Order: sequence, then structure tokens, then C-alpha cells
Amino acid sequence: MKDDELSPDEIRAAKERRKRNIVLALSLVALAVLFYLMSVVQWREHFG
Amino acid sequence: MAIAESFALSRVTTVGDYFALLKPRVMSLVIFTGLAGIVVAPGHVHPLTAFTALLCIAAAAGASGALNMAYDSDIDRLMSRTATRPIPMGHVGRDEAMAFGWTLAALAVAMMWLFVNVLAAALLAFTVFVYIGVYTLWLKRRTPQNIVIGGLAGALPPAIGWASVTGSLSLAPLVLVAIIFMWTPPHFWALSLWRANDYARAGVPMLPVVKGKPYTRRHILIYTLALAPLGVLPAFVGLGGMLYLIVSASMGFWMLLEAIATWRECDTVKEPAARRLFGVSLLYVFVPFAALIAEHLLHLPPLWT
Repeated sequence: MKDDELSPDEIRAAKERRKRNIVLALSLVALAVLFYLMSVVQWREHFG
Repeated sequence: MAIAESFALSRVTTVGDYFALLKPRVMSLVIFTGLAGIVVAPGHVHPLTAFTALLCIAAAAGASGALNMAYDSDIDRLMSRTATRPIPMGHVGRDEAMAFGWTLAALAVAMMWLFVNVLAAALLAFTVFVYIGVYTLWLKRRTPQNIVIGGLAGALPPAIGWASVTGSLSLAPLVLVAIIFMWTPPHFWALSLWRANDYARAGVPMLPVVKGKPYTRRHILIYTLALAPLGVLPAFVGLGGMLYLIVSASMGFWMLLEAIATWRECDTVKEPAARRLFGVSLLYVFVPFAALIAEHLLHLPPLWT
């Protein structure tokens, strides 16, 4: 279905869903980076 | 008809809805007091470890907020203060909030355990248990002492912050815990004075609903009388310096004046003194804790060593 066939509410909902997915993806990436960095910090504290 | 039903909307769940589930205003207080615990603790941790500890404290506080909204969604829709929360509004499902809350809580405790230490993780888990198990599910609908005992959950973050740095506990962080513990009842009882009808409608046995407003005013004054000297105690256990002593003593005196005004209040409908007390009580936590953090960051000497 093309965008011009959607109602304004449906377009708004699709935008909101996309925004939600981006925030979730960024949160997971940030978490992964934090896990990596914390692993480095802990490794250095134990062996460095 | 439930208040929420009159303006409930059905739409897709937004990022803002999830953020609202975290109770950001409560979370900011928890982050701030947790930060104070980290800053004033003796010793040193890597800044990233301190950041992770603070993130875990914030996440667990947010998770507790989401779980509280999920378990209390039936009464939230009956009170005007809470009827616009995401679950009563139909923006987030109760089960969804529950899953969000438990996942976030488990993640926060696990990360604290993995990357900080076991004591901080245990205290964090205990905080969630007190807020959800003891306060929300057990005491809130049963006794007017709900916020007195449940207040322990909100009081623990300085101890968690301290434990994140030292891996242990001592008298000093427990003094900070005691301050917030003693501060919680007058803070929430002030709110409940002008929200008494709301609580009565939802069947929540807050002190003004069960014992009446004069009894509540007396107890606000008694707790504030105990809080004022307790508030300056950090200056005498090696935590605070002259700046902290002056700031905490001034704030304690101000809060006491507002508690006396609330005790003598004649306008039992609008409750202007209780509203002022509520505002001052918010400052009472933020300002002296900010002084404490500033003293430690500026390396100002404590009053008592």
C-alpha cells in the first residue's frame, strides 16, 4: 500500500512505530557498547 | 465511571509512553541521591563503573515505576492525579508494562552484579522488592503506614551508590538513607492532604482518609521535627562540611516552618500550606544533597573527621 492510500492516523502510527524501533535499536547498541567497554575496564582492573 | 474512561484514547504506543512509565521525576530524585552516595564514598572507581552503577540505579527505579503503574492500574484510573498515566489512558497494555518493568529490573540487577559488585546488586534487588512486593502489592491498599515502610525503597539509593564504590556499608551512607526515609512521610502526607478525595475514591488508606486531616497534620509536624536534626547529622559523621551544615540547617528550618503552617492550616479544601510544604520538601532533598556533592567535588574539608 502506498503512503497516499493511508489515512493521516495510519501515517502517524507508522511514523511512531519507526521512531520506536529506532530508539529500541539505539538503546540495544548503546547497551552492547557499554557491555564491551565495561568488559575492557574489568579486564584491565584484573590484569592491567 | 472511572476518570480515565472519560478521555481514554486508543493509539499506537509511543516512546514517550514508555518514558512516562519510568516515572522520570521520581527517577531524577533517585539518580541524584544515588550520585551523592557515589561521590561522597571513600575510595575510587573507574568513571565508567560509576556511570554503570548510576545507570543501573536509574533503570531499576524506572522499572519499579513501570511495575507500580502496572499493578496499580485499576486504582490509577480512579484518581485524577494518575488517570492520565499511559495504562489508564489505554496507550500501553498492563501486561506490556509488566514485561517492560520486569525485564528492565532484571537487566539492571544483572548488570550491577556483573560490572559493579554483588552488594550493590543485592541492595538494588532489595529496593525493587520493597517498592513492588512490600509497598505496592502488600501495604499500599492495607495500611496508612504504607509510605512510611515503603519509603525505604526510595531511601536506599545513597547506600547503593556508596556500596558501588566501596563494596561495603557503614554508618555514613545509612545516615543519608535515614534522612530520605524520614523525609518521605511528610512529603507524601502533604500531597495526600489535598488529594484526600482522590485516595478515598480509589480506596487507598492514606493517613488523611483513615485518621483524618488533623491527625495527618500532627504527624507531618512530628516527622519534620525529627527530620530537621537528622538532616544536619552528615556534618557530624564525617560526610558534610560547613557548607552542608548551613544549607541543611536552613532547609530543615524552612521545612519546619512550612510543617507548622500546615499544622495550623484553616483552608482544608485548597490546602495552600500543604502545597507549599510539598514544594519545599522537594528542595529539601535536592539542595542539601547538591551541597554535599559540591563539597566533595571541590575537596572542601568535612566538619568532623
